[in-house]
Amino acid sequence: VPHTIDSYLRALAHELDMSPLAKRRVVRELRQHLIDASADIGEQAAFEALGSPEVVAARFAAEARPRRRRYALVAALLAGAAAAVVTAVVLTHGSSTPAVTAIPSVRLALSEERNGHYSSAHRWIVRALSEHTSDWRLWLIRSRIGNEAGDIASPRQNLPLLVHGARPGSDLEYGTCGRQVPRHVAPREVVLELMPLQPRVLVLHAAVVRGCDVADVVSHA
Amino acid sequence: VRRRSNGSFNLPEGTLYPALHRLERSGYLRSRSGLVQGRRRRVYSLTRAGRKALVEQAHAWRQFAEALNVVIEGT
Repeated sequence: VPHTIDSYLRALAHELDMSPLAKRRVVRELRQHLIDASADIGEQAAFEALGSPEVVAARFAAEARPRRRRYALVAALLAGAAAAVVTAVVLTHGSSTPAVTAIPSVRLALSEERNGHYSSAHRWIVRALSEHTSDWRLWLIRSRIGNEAGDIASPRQNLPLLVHGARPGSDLEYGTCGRQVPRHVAPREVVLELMPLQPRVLVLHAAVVRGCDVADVVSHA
Repeated sequence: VRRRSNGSFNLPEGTLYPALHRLERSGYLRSRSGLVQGRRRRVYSLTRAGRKALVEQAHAWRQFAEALNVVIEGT
């Protein structure tokens, strides 16, 4: 654990993976930050508020990472976020709906998904959907499985059906999915900027605002 | 951000600088080094592109909030 600003910055400089010029600028900037913060709250508290040198360096590395990889992360989080909001809707409005696990093929799909056998899971969920086409929960599971298998187009393909099943005729369906949302309002910067704070909410932002164009957040990277 | 959100967004300080640097690389911010109250500081400001992006993102955020209300309220 660094005890002084100099030792903190030495450790940070060692961890940072960037050009010497960029590194000098970061170190200079954070030195000023730490001097100011130390005067206000003390050195150790300033270190803690900033984060360890390893963590700060990792955040710089993450920001410098190729965008495609970052958006792959967004895509992966989309499935989780969609699951979160749909779960919330279920809890709020659909407590009397029978559990999807009552459907044998869904149970098999979920089991295969848990074991990482995504192609088999996909086959079972498709079979379940052939019998329960209007059950939006199954579209969600299909979307999630597709996403886990690396199919980033899956949320885009399935979300309209999911929204329609969850809230047929709702403003949500016609307000966001029923019309073209101008591409220039892609909220990708907001998503990436604030994702560390509220990942689920902000990825949901992308999902709801973009409606049918969820995958555009990824493909426009 | 923490103050303006009444503490709801407690952005870790270590995330701020990487984000600022990225936004600068993307052309949304510019920065200059200068003396402020006798101390050397780097001052960031929005570029024209940054201002435009801010307006767009604020608009997108309002759309999101409205859509989320529809999900929660079911109207």
